[in-house]
Amino acid sequence: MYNSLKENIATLKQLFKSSADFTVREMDLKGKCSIKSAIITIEGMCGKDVLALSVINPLLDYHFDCASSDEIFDTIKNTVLTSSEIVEFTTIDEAISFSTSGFAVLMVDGCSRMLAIGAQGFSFRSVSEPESEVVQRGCREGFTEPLRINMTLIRRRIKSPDLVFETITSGYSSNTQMMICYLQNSVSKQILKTIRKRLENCNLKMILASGYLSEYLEDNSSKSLFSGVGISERPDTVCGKLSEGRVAILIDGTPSVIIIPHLFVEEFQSVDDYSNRPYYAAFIRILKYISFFIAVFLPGIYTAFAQFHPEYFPTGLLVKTSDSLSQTPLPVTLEVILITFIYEVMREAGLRIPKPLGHAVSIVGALVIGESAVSAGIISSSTLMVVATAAICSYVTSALYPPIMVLRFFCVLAGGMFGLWGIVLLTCGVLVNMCSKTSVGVPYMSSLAPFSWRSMRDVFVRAGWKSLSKHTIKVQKFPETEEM
Amino acid sequence: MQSNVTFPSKRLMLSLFVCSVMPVMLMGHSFLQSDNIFSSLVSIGFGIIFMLLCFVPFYSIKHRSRLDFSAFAKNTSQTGFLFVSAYYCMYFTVITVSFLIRFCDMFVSGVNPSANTKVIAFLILCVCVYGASKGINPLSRVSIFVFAFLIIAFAVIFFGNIKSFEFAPNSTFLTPDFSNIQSNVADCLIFAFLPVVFGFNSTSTKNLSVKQPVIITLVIFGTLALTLFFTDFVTGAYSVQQPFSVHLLSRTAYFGDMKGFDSFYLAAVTACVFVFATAVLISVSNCIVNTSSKRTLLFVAIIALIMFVLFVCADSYSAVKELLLNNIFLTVLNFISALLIPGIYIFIYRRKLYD
Repeated sequence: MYNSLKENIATLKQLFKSSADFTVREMDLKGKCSIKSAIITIEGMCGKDVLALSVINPLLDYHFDCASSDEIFDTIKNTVLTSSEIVEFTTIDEAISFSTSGFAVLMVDGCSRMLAIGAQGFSFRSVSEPESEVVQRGCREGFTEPLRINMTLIRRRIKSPDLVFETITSGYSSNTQMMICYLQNSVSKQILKTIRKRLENCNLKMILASGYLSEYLEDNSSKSLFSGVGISERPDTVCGKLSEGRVAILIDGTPSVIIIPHLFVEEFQSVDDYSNRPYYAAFIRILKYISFFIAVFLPGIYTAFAQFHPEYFPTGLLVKTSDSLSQTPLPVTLEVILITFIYEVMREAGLRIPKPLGHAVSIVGALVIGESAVSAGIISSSTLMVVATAAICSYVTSALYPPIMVLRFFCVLAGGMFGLWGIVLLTCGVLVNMCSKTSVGVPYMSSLAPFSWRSMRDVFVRAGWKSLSKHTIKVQKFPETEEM
Repeated sequence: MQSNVTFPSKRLMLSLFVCSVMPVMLMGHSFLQSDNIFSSLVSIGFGIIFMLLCFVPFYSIKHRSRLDFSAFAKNTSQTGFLFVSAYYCMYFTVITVSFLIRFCDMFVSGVNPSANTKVIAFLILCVCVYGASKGINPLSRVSIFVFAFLIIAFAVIFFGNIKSFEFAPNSTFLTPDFSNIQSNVADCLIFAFLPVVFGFNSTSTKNLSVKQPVIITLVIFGTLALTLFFTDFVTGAYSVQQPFSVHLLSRTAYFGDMKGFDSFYLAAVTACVFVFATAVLISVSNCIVNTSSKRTLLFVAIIALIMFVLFVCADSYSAVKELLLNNIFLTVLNFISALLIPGIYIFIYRRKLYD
């Protein structure tokens, strides 16, 4: 920074390319000699009322007895300003970073130091229940876009000095602020070091969502359909994961928090499991596992049986299935792929379509596919039932929807081309891929393979809290964890 | 690239058990062809003793040097290892193709007579090449899932036939008769490929104890004996006319109105063939390259291609097929691979081993 106020303002104006939202409020401070000061803000980022009350009014009302600019600066910082967050800095880059983060930047003529005053007032979405992770008995709060609010949501639930937030900035154009969050007494130092290194090696231009970072955080050996990085919008879920030694990464501008390491069995766990009775939680968990298998394998197995192994159908079902399949023009493999494709198109359309038109999509889907296509003999009712059942089951574990969709497609192809043994071979290949995958060195299939009796208390069933609390699970203690 | 993390030896033993289930499920009507329990028990006894003997050299090498046989052989003599690795590549190729032929025969005779066996073998080998590129540790983890499925499949097949079980031995059942010992013993000795697979994959394992090979041998032959005994008294004389007794068993299983669980059999035997072929390909890759080499996939693919070529030859020429399906031929190869060559290495390089 320069000592001259005019030069500082001119430099910043030039850097911001005289952007329309770059505002400068110049003031003459009252005192023995007239000293000029200026406040730099970005339009819409600062709260005007907060700025006026805690910065401008106190500055204009105060009478400065000091002679030098530095003394005036110190007086402003220590005595005049009523804001609770004040940071002193000296570089142009910091001035840009603070002003674009909603801080008001104060400069005094003749002084090369500047102050960043916390006066954020930009608009943001209020804390509400996340739509992607709905629970029955958990809290109704979810993360929002501003980073500080998300930090508060976590801090309110873990009132411990062991909870640490580390700031990191990434994205050479967006300069997105992120927080690495962990519990000091639980986290693995090795995992933390690896995560820091991977985030530093991230050379993206802009980071606009958590998914941008996923590829940088996953292990190199992980070319897999399944993600080694977990995402959550719930603060209670994140706090639970932190207590198991995991690391959370909060990104400014997105409500999705990254949790790493992430394991396969976690896709079937939810906050409700720990609030409900153990027997009910076990029932729901087993239901989720069964639903996952139905979602992936049912269309493929149906195709394989219909095409190659009709003798595997029960007799009554065989008669009905062959009757309905004989009336359709397409082979059963193509029929299943066609219905699956139409379903995916309708699902995607339902996601993107404006809400007023949403009803039209459901009517078209029900009438066109459900009624007309079957009546016209283009598709068979049994095939439609199978695909619909698989589709419904895939929403039980919605976080796994992308791999389920892709695996289902390949299962149908394998079953249609080779039969049941083709599906078994495909499954073996996928299992090898999953069993060789790691998440920051922790085996992705931990608890199942490598098998651990102790972890089984919280995999297919949920043991009671008295039992669970006896041994705390730490993710770095899973067997065969590699050092990265 | 494969990881270097060690895993418990028990899981490698589990993988060996899964590999051993495959010949049990693919046993034909001529397997242990004897209505005499003494003959069967003697044959199984010989099988147990032979397999335990085959474990001894590899166990000693692992126990003393913490290395598997290929690493030990490489350390002792580079020149000698060239010949040894060539022999073992040939041995593993023969063993794999032999069991692939049995699987394809079962498929054609019992599932789909019009199936193209070359396509079946090619696809199995392709998937196994991918599995082999990941290493023995992920394969041992996959074995956990396959083992869990095997338990379900065997439970369904056995309990589905329990109502048909009739202990009605014929007059010669309890009378000592050892006339078929020679062929029966050869049927049991084919399991001796398992110690060789162990011997080539034991580097990454830890916590190996002497009781593990003993227990796994007893479990394998116990499973064989139970399956034979059960099959004999459920299907009886009918199975004599049918190949692949366990497949027949799966077709006759029923629970009330629910009949025919041969889908479980097909899925189980396919998974076992996958684990077996992948374990053998990993053993071959350990012979040729370092486990951390990026060229593992390429070398494994080349070996798999050679296996496929041998399979096509066997499919086209019945003499080759007969040789590969000859249990006595496989027993001789097992003897050389599991006892003779490792025994010679231990004898010649005993000082290096015991230092």
